[in-house]
Amino acid sequence: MKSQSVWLTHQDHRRPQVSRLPGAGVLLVLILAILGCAKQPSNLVLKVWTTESDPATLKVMEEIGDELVQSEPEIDEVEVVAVPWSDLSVKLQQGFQTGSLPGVTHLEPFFTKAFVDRDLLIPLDSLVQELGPQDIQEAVRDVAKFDGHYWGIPQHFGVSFMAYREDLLARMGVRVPGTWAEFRDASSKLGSGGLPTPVYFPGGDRFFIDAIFFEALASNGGHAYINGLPNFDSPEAVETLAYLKNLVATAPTETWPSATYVEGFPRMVRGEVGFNLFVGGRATKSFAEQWTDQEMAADRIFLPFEPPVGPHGSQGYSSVDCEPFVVINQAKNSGSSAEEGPALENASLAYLRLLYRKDNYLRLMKSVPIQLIPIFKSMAAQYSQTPFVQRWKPWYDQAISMVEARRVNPYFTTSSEDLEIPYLFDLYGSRVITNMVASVMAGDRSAKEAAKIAQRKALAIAEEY
Amino acid sequence: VRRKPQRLRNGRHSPLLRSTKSGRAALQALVLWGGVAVIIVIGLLVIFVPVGCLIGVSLTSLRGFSSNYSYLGLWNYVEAFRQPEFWRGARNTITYAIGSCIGQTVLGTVMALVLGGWQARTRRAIAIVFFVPYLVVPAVIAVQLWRFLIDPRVGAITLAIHRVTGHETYFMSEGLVMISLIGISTWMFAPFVMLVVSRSIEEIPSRRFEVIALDGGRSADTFRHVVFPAIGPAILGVALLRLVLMATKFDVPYLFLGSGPLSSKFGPTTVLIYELAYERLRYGEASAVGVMMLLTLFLVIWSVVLWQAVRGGT
Repeated sequence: MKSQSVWLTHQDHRRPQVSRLPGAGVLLVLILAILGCAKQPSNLVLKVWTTESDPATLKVMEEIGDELVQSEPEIDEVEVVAVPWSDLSVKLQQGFQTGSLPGVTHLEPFFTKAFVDRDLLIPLDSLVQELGPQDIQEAVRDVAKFDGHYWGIPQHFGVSFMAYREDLLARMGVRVPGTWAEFRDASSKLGSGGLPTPVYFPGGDRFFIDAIFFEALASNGGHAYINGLPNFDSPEAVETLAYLKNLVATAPTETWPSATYVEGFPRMVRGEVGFNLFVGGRATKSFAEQWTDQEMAADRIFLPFEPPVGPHGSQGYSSVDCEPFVVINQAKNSGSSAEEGPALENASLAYLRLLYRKDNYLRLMKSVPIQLIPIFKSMAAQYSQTPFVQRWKPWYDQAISMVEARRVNPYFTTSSEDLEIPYLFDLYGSRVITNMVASVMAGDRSAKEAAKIAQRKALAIAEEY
Repeated sequence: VRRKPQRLRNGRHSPLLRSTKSGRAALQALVLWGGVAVIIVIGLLVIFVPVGCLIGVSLTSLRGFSSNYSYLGLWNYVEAFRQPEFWRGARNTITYAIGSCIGQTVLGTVMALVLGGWQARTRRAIAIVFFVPYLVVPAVIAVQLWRFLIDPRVGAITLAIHRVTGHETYFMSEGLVMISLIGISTWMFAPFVMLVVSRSIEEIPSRRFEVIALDGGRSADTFRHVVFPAIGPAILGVALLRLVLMATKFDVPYLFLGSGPLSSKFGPTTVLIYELAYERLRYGEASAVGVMMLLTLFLVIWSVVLWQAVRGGT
């Protein structure tokens, strides 16, 4: 008994010491790790945020990043992050608040001025000069040029299209419309012929509501802004609102407020939709993938047409999709130190230099042909020989002709000069335009009344700047 | 059983173990008050500091991508009251929160009562089957699933309705979208109510059922005199909790309504706060709306608590 008791006493004394050992070890390792991290030279990780979501595009961008890491020993990693377009401003704000802004990011042209005004970007004049500004398509070259400086370079250009089902129109004896009146008639004819959705309006995402309104307004000879001030109650704008309402009213359904952009492709493929008011070049890829009929080729069924002209307009206008790459001013990024900031900015410039190198750039553009068209005129011939581009030539030809004729405007504008307006970002966020269009289309307000309310609200926003 | 104080190797008592009764009481008091102090500090950090910051920001002109701001006093509050969007958001919040709260409470209670008739083991198994999706299915998947089911062209529900009635139903039309949103929220959160009410049914002593059975009571009498009085407080408590949670719900309405006109017209206040903060970068105005929402919910909760206290409930 005595020996057992001694043994127990002995154990009792030892146990706490033994159980403390692993804890103390872990603590020591943690302290050493923290000290080690603090003493290690900081790793340079370049973050690139892109609104491109196609895996093929992302893969090329990552490969360009790998090439940069190979050639620049001080850069440890290039992290390419796909940020959905609709989340971009939210993510950038969060990055600003938490000090985790990227080195390079895409921006919308109509955001860019707001970022320049807040001193969040560094100018890219030297890079643009290296690339040769005279070789860049004029319609997109200056979308991020403010106060004589280039603050961004478009990654590509693409235009918005209106698309139609050629076979459906032919079967119902409907011609491709050239004017608003013809479009309304064509749509009515398709509706009375039993087509569920003669005109597809992707109203589930406000971005497309705004884009369609601005395109139609420009095609009606209207100007969204005059001398930097909103001009949404002009006769052309009121007429545009009434036109959109009448056009979509030809559909016997009331689904447009929840209709998403991507939903439009399968609906066209299923033969439910005659006209789609807004698709990007990426639609060709979707049509090619989703079309299963072996007897008819998809590229002969799904065709683009130029935006019809309004009664006050002389020619149709499309939107130009040309998000610029910008480099963040790291002095504004609380997460990067005084030494790291300039190094990140240099790494960002090095990444863009590599991305715009001809071989890399063409590879990037060919990852989603038609959607991504090179901004460089000198690459046009080589790019146009891509088999996919050849196959979907009417789309490519329309994009080129619209851009060369300068019949394209950046989103949320009716003229590229409008990009100078400092309150565009705020106006977009306020949903003034979306609510104006939606209230007319839903029948809540007359076109005139809705335009007047929108003008008053837009003016109130403009007055703050 | 009191243990003898242990001795150290040198045979002397440890100073701590030599402590007297009063020493132990002091130690206990120290631990108690230390714990209270920790809870207060955590409470301050987790609740009052963020709320204080929110109130502070609501009095300024702070905007996104900028650290510069000026003091505006109550201007953001006045401005919010002047905006029709604020009142529309408030109306939608009330409709959505009350509608979905009633739906969840009724459905959850019915589910719990149905389950109450089963054997304990079966009841628990079924409860888990219902409750697990509530825990693991994220809002984004649930909403997408329902958007697909009610799609006007290919949705299983719309096709079934069409087959039965011969009419096309547009659940996302202006007339039905709020009802659809309430319906989806009811489906998503009713299992939570079911679980709480089930638990309170389980706690009813079996002799109460036996007594009423001996008195010749029918099922309705059992429900009226035994079940309902027992589960009433639980239903009220869970309904209040669900009301507050639904009033502050953001993900489900935002995902369901999208960013188009439905969101502007039927979005609750949480969606408005998001738009103000992240789409217009107006942190000051967004915070003012947030503070007003917080105060309203606070008043609602305290009104119910006071009402219960006056009635003598718990």
